[in-house]
Amino acid sequence: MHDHDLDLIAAYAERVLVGDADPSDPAAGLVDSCAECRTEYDDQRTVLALLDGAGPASLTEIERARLHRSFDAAVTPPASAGRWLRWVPATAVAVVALAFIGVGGLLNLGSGDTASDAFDIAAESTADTMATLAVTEPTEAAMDAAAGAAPAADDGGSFYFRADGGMTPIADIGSVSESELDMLLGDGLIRQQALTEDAGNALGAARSAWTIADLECLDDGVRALREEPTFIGLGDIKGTAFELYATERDSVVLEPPSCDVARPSGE
Amino acid sequence: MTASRSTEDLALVQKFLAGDQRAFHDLMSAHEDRVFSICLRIMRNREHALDATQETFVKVFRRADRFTGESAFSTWLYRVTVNTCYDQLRKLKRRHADPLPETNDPADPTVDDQLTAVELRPDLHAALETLPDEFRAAVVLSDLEGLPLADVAEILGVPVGTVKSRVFRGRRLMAAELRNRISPDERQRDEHA
Repeated sequence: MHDHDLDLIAAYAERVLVGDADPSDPAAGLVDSCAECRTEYDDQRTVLALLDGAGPASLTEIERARLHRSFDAAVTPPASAGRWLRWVPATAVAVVALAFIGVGGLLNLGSGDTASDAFDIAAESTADTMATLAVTEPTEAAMDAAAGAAPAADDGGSFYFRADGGMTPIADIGSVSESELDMLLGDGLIRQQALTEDAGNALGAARSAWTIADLECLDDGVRALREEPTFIGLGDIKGTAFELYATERDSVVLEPPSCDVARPSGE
Repeated sequence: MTASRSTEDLALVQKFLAGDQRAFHDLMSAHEDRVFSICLRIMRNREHALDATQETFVKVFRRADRFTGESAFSTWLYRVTVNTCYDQLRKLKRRHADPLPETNDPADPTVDDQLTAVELRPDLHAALETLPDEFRAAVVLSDLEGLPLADVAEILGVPVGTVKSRVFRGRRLMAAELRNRISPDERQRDEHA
């Protein structure tokens, strides 16, 4: 069968499907007179009918909300945070890592454990995860992330996979011990980080859409720190949402939407 | 795509370019299901499709001034969509041994599994999945999304004849896959025709 015949037969199958076929159609004769053409016609018609019945796919409402949230985050810089986020130093990451540990301890204190106990338990339960992460080579995503920010992440290092799908070069949080990192990965998850693509490292660049969003307690954070924070982390620990505002010297954890202080500054 | 939709899209683009951010959200609302549908059928994974959908709209948001109005906005948008999907597929193939980290978003209870998610019969989904990317894009746009061949040609940046060839051969490959009797020779013949 020639290509020309395939065109004729496929177009004929389409017309048959929508009820627009003419009995005198030359393709009808072709289909009747040639076994290979008949097979081709049957194939085209079968697949067309199946695909025609599928209909378009659509977003679920949860997906739609996620899409709009992440889109807004990607295209809308935070009104009051943008000015200082442009010069946030990479070293602030160490501050946030330590602060998360404090948050984990705080929340665990609330359930009857000491911060130290909670820390040990988390470290033990995630030891395997850390061992895996420690030997992880930079992935394409990490390379993409590094390409979108300057300077690039340490290409010989491993990465902490954040809950938002992005990656944090472990080299950037090198002042934090491995067991402290376990805590970070075990109980405290950074959902989003208030870092822009030109923040000076690869943080957040893998999915810039997730880097800034929904700051509810920024004013309270600035008031508590008495200066503008250099880092913001949005996350949750055991299902409790928090917003962390940090400088290189201090940090405060607030619970949205009330913005009650979960962990005061100076601790 | 109706003429009134095209006219409305053009007006919204002009409003957006004049500084009305709300207009872009209206554009997005009008097209997000279709864009997601195309992404889902090309990417074959809901999470990846959602990422591609978001990236598509971010690109369009940032490059809206490049829309000349010579084609319908939807045609231009779907071209960005398909190219974004191709880019993401290439990235996914390069990092196939490194699965993407899971998001921390709650599971969507309305999505049972990937097969349900794609809203195709499992065998049809499997057959579609076997197609080469460029065949699948042509079949998705033409037969699943119901776009005219001329529009598909413009979206894919190839002549109408090439679209026809990809669609017809894509269907043929799918039919053979559905019958589970495809031979390597037959696949090779179609893919390289």
